[in-house]
Amino acid sequence: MVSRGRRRTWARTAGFYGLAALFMLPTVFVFYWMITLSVKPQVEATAFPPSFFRFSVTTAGYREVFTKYPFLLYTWNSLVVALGCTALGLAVGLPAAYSIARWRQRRLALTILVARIIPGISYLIPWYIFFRHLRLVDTHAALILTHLIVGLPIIIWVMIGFFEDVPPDLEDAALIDGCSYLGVFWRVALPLVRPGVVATGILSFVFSWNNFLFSVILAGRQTRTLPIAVFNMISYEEINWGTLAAAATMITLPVLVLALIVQRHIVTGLTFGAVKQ
Amino acid sequence: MRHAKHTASSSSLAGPRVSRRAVLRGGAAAVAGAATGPFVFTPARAQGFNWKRFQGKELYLILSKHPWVEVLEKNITEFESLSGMKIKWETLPEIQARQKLVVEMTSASGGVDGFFTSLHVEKKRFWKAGWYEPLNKYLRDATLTPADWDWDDIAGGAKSIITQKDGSISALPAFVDAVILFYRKDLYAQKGLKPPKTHSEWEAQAKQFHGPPALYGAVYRGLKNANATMFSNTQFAFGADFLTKDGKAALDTKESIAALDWYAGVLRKYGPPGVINFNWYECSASFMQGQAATYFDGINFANQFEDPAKSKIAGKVGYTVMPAGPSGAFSSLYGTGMAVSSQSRNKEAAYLLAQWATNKQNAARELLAGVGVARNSPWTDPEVKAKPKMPADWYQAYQDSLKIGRLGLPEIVGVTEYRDIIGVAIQKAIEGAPSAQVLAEAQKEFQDMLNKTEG
Amino acid sequence: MNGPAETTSGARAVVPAVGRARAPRRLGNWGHRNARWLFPAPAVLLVAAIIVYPIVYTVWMSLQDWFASSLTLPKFIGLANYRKILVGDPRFREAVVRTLYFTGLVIAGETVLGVAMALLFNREFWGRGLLRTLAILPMVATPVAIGLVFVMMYHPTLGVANYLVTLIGLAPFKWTYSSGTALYALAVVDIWQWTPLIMLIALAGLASLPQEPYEAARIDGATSLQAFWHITLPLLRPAIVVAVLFRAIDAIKTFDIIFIMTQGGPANSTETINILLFNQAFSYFNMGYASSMAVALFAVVMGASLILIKLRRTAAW
Repeated sequence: MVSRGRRRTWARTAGFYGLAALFMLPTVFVFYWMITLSVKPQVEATAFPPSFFRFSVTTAGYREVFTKYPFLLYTWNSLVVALGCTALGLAVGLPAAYSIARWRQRRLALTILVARIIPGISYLIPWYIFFRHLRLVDTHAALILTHLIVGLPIIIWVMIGFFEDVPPDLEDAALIDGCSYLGVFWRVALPLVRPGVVATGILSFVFSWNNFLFSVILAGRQTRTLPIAVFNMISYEEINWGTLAAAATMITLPVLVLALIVQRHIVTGLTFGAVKQ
Repeated sequence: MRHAKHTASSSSLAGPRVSRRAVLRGGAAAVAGAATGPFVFTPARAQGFNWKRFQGKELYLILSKHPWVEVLEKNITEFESLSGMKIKWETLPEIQARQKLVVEMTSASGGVDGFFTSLHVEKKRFWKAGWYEPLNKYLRDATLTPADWDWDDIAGGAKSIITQKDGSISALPAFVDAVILFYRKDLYAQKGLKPPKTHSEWEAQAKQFHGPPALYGAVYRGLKNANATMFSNTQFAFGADFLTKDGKAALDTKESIAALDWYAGVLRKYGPPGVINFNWYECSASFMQGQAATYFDGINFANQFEDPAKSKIAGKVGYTVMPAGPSGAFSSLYGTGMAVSSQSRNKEAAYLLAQWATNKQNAARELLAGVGVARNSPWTDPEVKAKPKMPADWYQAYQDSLKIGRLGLPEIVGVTEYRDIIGVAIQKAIEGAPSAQVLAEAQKEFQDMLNKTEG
Repeated sequence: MNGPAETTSGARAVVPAVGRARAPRRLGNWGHRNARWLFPAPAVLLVAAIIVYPIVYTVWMSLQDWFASSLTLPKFIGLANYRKILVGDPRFREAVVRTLYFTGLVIAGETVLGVAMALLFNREFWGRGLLRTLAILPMVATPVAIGLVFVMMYHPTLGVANYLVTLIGLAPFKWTYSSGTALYALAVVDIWQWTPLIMLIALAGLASLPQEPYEAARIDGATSLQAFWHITLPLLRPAIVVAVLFRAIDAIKTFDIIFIMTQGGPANSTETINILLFNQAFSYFNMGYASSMAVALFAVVMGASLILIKLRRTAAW
């Protein structure tokens, strides 16, 4: 009796983990494949049947990425733009979210969302004219401002939910004590929603880092960000898979690592506040 | 000239040795009114010409990725020290470069001074949009054009490519690309075969060599839009054309159907899997991996075949003119140039760079690197003769092809639309749809587009 | 920050005080009264500065006929572009259908798989943390890079995808290299990337489900399938619906992956509205027509979003 029951439990557990592995395998495999391709010599990268575990390792792809292209400059550009976009987004987005949550400004929330709904392509030419006049084409500033369109709505929308959860009693007490709204926001509300700030900050960073479309037009030679650089490489490198995979790895790895470090928070942002940690 | 049949849209082109007078006669259809162009200018002594005239100015160029541009980029610093100007430029894949240019021009930014232009795509559209600065008067101006730039050295075909129908010259010619056939001479020798003279011979050989997955009989472009430039060669060989004499769409003729049957059929039967998405770089990659026995494309893409670091078939490639079809042998020609933006604030300085980039010395450098040129003199350049990068049959095939050259795309505004329309038809045919049916659809779309844009 | 700071004369701070700034009292009062406008003002002004001009420009341009020429100015043609969109352009109609089909495909795939995975993982087990870690990776990975990797995996002769497929006994596919399968091959990428999102949301929903209905059902003798169908799904629905709509908005606008992997081909088999719009503007220079498409696309997405807002209000999560 006991042993049969235990065996059944074992079988169920094994079945569960088997199924779990089956579901998660594709996720893992794509990244595994990207990374292994990036360290394979060209002959093995395009070998068929492909080798999964036994292959020689070379850094040729990475060396090529860094010597043939100003990849460090591209990385720097991506970093500056993503950080700038996040800092600016938080600076203006947090007070806005607080206000929307506190005074129930639904209309305002909707208006902000419109920015995200407009098809990105229709921005390109008007933006170009606009930033031309401001002499901002091929500057980090233009990229930061445009990436805000992607980052800011997320910051605001996720943070609304967090600010709504701040107990009103706390705020009222502070107000009665003579605190201004700014004081309440800064000293009462903000410390309580810190997890949300981290989550949305990371998200805004990631989406800016990943943005492809806007930088195509507005970035120039000096400000080109990683996704554009990698996209342009596709036709330069023909089917030089090792190099392409190395470039793909270089651009993805920073966000993956970042996501791993703060995974707890990032889920909140990704699910648009639907899942709070 | 050589071919009785030619229309305004696809005039046959003179070989590189044709005289100035012959160009005027032969290209008359395409170059109507060109007499007022720089053809009448008499090269003055380089009086007043001064490289340093625009010293201290800064130029911004948009270039697209191409072997010709790669050679140019290596020498730009030389121009900077020669002229005392500062050159900034961006090199992007062709599609992105065009997209960037459109945005620049649409916003009337004046930020671009010069650009590399694919005339086979952009000629009429950019001209109609007023983006090309007409260069006629610059060419006549001896203070801007030194005598040794030498208009008469430009190949006849190239002259008509850069000249609009109103006689204005839109760009200085960079190169003329001719479509030729590449074949694996080692494999041909093994089987005791000679390179094909006709399309049917070619198909039979493709069948003979076809032994997947190690070797495929033939590879050439299947990707939408890109395939249009190669298909025109088959169209010509089978007696088809893009347009009728009075400028109407002519895609559903029986010649066209026969051409598509051949183009799509051979690719379907003897091409590598996935060829439907192959652009020139996938095709050349597959050829350089030794996976295909024959391949046809623009001659300029061949310069990497002989590079052992990239190619498994260096030294094993034969180069020859395109095989003939029922209507003869042709080579589709494509021309590019260096243009000056009409919105530039430094037009003369930009022109100075364009004429330097296309002068005799730079043309010789291009040819040395295995890239085709738009001039006659480099072929006799002692340095080119002394250390040719490409095998002798490459040079021979190039010169022979220019003689049988025809513009590989219609000279209309909507070239990209045309390429997409015919490109989709070709892809559908490769997937097995009947040629007659897909061409009937293409015909309708093409005519609709012509009605809209050519009025 | 925005708005004038104000003294909190001797106030007992609820939370550790940070940087008390001194400012004139009168200005402070004004700021205090108008805080509800001052707080969102920077964000609103910034967004307005960036989007108002593009919106005006696009709407104005959608009423013009213009080929990006420097010689001829845009010609006003009223609503002709919109009429063409609605009745005169089969390629646009096909793109709309394709876009909706693609959206439906990926949403269905992601919802079914995501909910299934959530049900599977809704328990305590060793490695739960690892699971969540893995789940977020596809969502944050750069689309350009992911597209590139899938291009290499989908290669018909050298790609690993066909090797794996033959390993389990199927015939090799042509993936993005055939007009019959390309859209599905792209859908796979989207599903790969976003199924974990639905799973995470559904997991959170499951965690907050009340226990009472299940106990009642057990007493009534319901099977676990019945319980799932009649209790779990209805309770989960609000969370899932919202997630689905957020995904739908993004799926309709999918651009990066398609642009990198197929650019709308082979033939026009993966040309969605966004890709067609891009071609109209940047390959064919039909600025006016492309603008009217942008407005139309905006209307579609806006419609979906309004539904979302309404649902968010009623779903109360």
